[in-house]
Formats: sequence, C-alpha cells, structure tokens
Amino acid sequence: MSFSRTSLAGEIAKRLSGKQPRKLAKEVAAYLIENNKAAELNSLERDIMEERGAKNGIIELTAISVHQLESAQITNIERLVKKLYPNCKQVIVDQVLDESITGGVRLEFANQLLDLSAGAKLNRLRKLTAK
Amino acid sequence: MSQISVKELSADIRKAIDQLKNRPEIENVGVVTRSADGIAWIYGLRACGANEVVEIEGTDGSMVQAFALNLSENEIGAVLLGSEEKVKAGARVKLTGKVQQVPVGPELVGRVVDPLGRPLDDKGPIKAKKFNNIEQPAPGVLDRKSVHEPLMTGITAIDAMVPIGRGQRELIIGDRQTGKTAIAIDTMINQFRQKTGVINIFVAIGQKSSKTARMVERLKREGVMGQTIVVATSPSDPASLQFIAPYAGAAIGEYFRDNKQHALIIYDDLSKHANAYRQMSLLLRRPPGREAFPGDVFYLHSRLLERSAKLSDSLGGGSLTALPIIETQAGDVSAFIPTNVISITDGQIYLETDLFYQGIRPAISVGLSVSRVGGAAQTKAVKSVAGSLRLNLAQYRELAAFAQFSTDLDAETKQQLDRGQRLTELLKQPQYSPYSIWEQTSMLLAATEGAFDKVPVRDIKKAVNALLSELNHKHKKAMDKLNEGDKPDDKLKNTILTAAKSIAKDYKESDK
Repeated sequence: MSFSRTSLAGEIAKRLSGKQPRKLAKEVAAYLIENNKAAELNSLERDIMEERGAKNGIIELTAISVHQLESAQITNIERLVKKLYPNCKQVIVDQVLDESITGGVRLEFANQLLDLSAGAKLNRLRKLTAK
Repeated sequence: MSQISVKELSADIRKAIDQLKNRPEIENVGVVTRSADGIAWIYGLRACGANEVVEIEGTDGSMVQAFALNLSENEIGAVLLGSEEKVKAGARVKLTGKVQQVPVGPELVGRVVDPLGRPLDDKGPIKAKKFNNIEQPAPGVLDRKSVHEPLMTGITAIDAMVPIGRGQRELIIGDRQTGKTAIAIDTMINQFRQKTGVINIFVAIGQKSSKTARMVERLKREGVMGQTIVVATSPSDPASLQFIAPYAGAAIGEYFRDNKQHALIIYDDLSKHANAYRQMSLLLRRPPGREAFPGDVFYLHSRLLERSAKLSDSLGGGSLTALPIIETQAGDVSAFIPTNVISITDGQIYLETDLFYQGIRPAISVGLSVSRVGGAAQTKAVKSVAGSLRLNLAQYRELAAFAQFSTDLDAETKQQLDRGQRLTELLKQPQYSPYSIWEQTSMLLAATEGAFDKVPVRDIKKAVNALLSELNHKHKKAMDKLNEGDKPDDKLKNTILTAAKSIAKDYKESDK
C-alpha cells in the first residue's frame, strides 16, 4: 500500500515523539525500498521537519558557519527562531561548517532560509546598487 | 504629565528604522531533486504560482532562471531559461514573486534582442524604463474597434485581392522555400518607404542564425532597422526560450499599441513554436494528444494572436497587426497546427510551391487566399480598380487548361485567357521592391481596363515600368495626391489610361 509523501511525513512526525526511533527508522527504510521511493528520502526529511514544526512546535534547522558556534551564539539563534516562529516550543540546531560562506551564519529550515552570511549581505548590496 | 521631547522621539524613530532594516528576511526555498533536458524538478516552494519565475543557484554561484509550469502536491516542474549545465540536484531554489517580464519601450527600436530582452547586437545594454509581463490578457470586446485602416504590404497581389488592415491577423502559410518570410520582409520595408510610422517587430522562432543575420543586414541596408525590433531565437536555443519568444514580442508590440501607435508583428514561424511547446510538454510529462501535441496547443496560439487588435478611440486607437507564419509539409493545410491557426486568424495568404517554380512570385494562390476583413481595410484607390481582378483571375484559372488550344477558341474565351495571362504577369513582383499606392492603382487600372491587352506577356513588366516612370515624371503632383489613398476621379483615370495606351503602342505585338 502506498501513501503520499505528505501523509507519510505526518505519520512519522507523530511517531517521532514516541519510543523506539530506531525501530521507526527501519520500518520507514523498508517502506521506501518496497515502494521504490528511496530517492525521495531528502524530500521526506524536509516534509517531516515541516510537519513537526507545524504540529508539534519543534523547529529543526541547520546552522552553517565558518567556525564552530559557541553556546551563547546557539542560544541567540534559538531566541531568534522563537521570535520568527511564535508557536515554537523547542529548537533543534544541527551545526555544519562551511568556509565558502565567508562569514556570519546561514540558517536552513525545512523549506525556508535565513541567510545572515556575509556573502548574502554583499549580494543584497550588489542588487541594490545595480538598480 | 511630562512631554516626550522631539529629540527622544527622533531617537526612537531612528532605532525603529534600524530594527526594521536589520530585521532578518526569511525566504521560501526549494531544492532541485532532479534536472534533465531543460526541466528542473523542485521540492518545496509551496507558495509558488503558475508561470512564476524561480531562481536556481548554479554550480558557479550564478542564478539560473526558470519558470514553473507544473505545480503538483509534491514537486514543481520548472523549465530552465538558462544553461542547464549549471543546475544540479540539491541546488537551492528561490521564488521571485514575479512572472516573466521583458523590457518594453522605444529604447528597443533598432535593436536585436533575445526573448528575455538581452541584446544580441553588441550595441550595449538596453536602458528600458518599463517592463511588461510577457503574458497579458487580450483586450476585451468593448476595448476594440473594427479594423478599418489599411496596412499596405506593397505587394500588389496582396493589397489588391487579400488586403490587410491594422489590427488584423493574417496568416502566411505555405511549404518551405515558397517566399513566406519574403512577404513579411517586403511588408516591413514598405512601412519605411511609405513613411507609415508603423513599428515592425520580427520574432524569429528557432530560425537559423545565418538567416536572421542576413535579414537584419538587409533591413539595415534598406534603412528599415530604424523602426524595427528583432526578437531572435535560434534552433540551438532552449525550447523554453523559443516558447516565450512570440509572447515577448507581443508584449513589446503591446507597448506601442497601448500608446496610440501602430505596430506590425511577424511570428516566423509558429510551427516551430508549436514544436518547442510540444517538446517542453512531453518532458514535463503532460499527456500527449493528437500528433503528440499537448491538449492546450490551440490555446497556445489563440491567446497569443488575440493580443493583436485595433483598439477603440477611447483607448487611443492604436493597433497591433499580426502576420503569423506557418510552414506546411507537402502542402497539407489540413494538418493539426495549420488548421488551428487558420481558424484563429482573420484570413490567410496561401503560397504554393507549384506557382513558385512556374516563376509566379510571390506564389500566392488567389483561390485559396482570403482576407476576412476585406474591403473595409483596403485603400479606396486600390479598391476602386481591383474589384474585377479576382474575378478575372478566377475565370482565367478555369480556362487555363485550354491555353494550349488557343487557336481553336472563340474570341471571348481567348480574350479572357489573354487578360488573365497579363494580369498574372503583372502581379509578379521582385523581392524588396514594394509598390506604393499610386503605383499599384495605376498598373491595376491600366491592366483591368485593357490598356495592355495587346502587349506581349513577356513585355508586360517593361510596359508597367515605363508607365510608372512616365506618370512619376509628367504627373508627379497627381500621383502624390493619388498616393494619399483616395479613389481616383475620372480625370485622373483618363490621364493614367491615356499614358498606358500610348506606352502599349510601343510594345504592341505585330499582327500575324
């Protein structure tokens, strides 16, 4: 039996707050393989993040920066996210290091992006001066 | 109660401004899940609208534009407008909140551009002040006026028998190499020579770059580029660019139409346009219909051609005349795309390969060509002398099979045959030589009144040239007056006929 990706994501998001997440992972993997949907895992991941954010108030994001973020910086990010998402109850920050963004931090949500990097600011400035 | 000082208020305002400026802008982003053959499939962007332009981060950091054509629950199918080599799976995609736009305005006149408005002629950037959406709704019924002003092509056969008016859509249809583009180019040249002020827009859809370059060169030599805009795509351009090219051209033409001016747009050709749309639709996995075209291929052309119109006086009275071109295969006008476009347009000019190779150029089939606007859009001068032309040629065609037995026919039949041969010869016209109103009126009057009936067929063109030369030298004032388009009075007709008869004497066949 095949489900749409959004309904599957909703179901997974519901069960994530329960017990035995590894068992859940095996079940989802089996389902994806059986239905030839393994290639959609990245999209499913984002769907689940979006569902958790909308239904459970758990916002998960990836913080990309040049250097490892300090705990004070992570706290600031969490504060900022709670301001942007008033229904947010919990923030999960996953850190990724990437030298190409030059400076600052880029916050990637499920389907949104908050680009506070130096590169993005320079691009905005470039667009403004081009006009 | 203490009052807040203006300075304190000012400081609060400055702080608020800074906070607003520094407020982080959160953007909706999607991700390319796969990309091939000019189509990018995107996850996310739930707020994306139909035909909305999206920007994809390329591998080199540049932004590749695409527009969303397929909106489904789980993904968006977007057609790439730029290089597909720069797009890879995993690339971030952002919405722009806009549909595709093109620069419009007088700044484009004299320029060769691509469908996105980027210059192709090395004359520097286009400094347009205005941008319009390439897809616009057509004017409504009450916004229009009936077509009543002529658009002279300068080609006698067309202006006499298949007249075109400003705001009309007249299809030019025929096999390859029958002179379709030549008619379009001569029409553009005539707008310049007759100083009509009509702005020409030539949209080359998937045309060979060498052909487009040759045409631009010719237009420059004739001095026409000063009132012409060329929107060019080559066969090596992505199907997406070929698809939007005619709509971009229409948006450019609408600027002039909506600003009380007149414009002429040529789509060369819509067969290639339909093919490009078919390619895109099949790659977007849309269900194929007849001849593998998608189900909305009629709408593809109808919404384009409806934008060509004559506006009412309250909206300025401007017009956009369209000359779409369709290439048939083996003369089959009953194929899918040709029949679609024939039913949309206000008439067609049908070019036949047989006529072309017989030396009848332009190879216009008088029987199959029609203008649904007709005499309402014809110059009074030409209308007054071309009334019997169609009939004479139709009678000639019926009797033409008997031409080889001309010695065995009665005098009336022979006379009809002779007249038809001479009219056919008269209507032959070299390329890049459009005739003015007075020239067409004079030659048609002379021929239809029988002044050239005794001139050998092979000498008709010489006799016509001699007549035009004499009228231009000895009756220039009268010809200038005739060129204004009014019906010639009896005195002027007599002047022309007298000159024609006198010239005919020099070419008279010797009695056998």
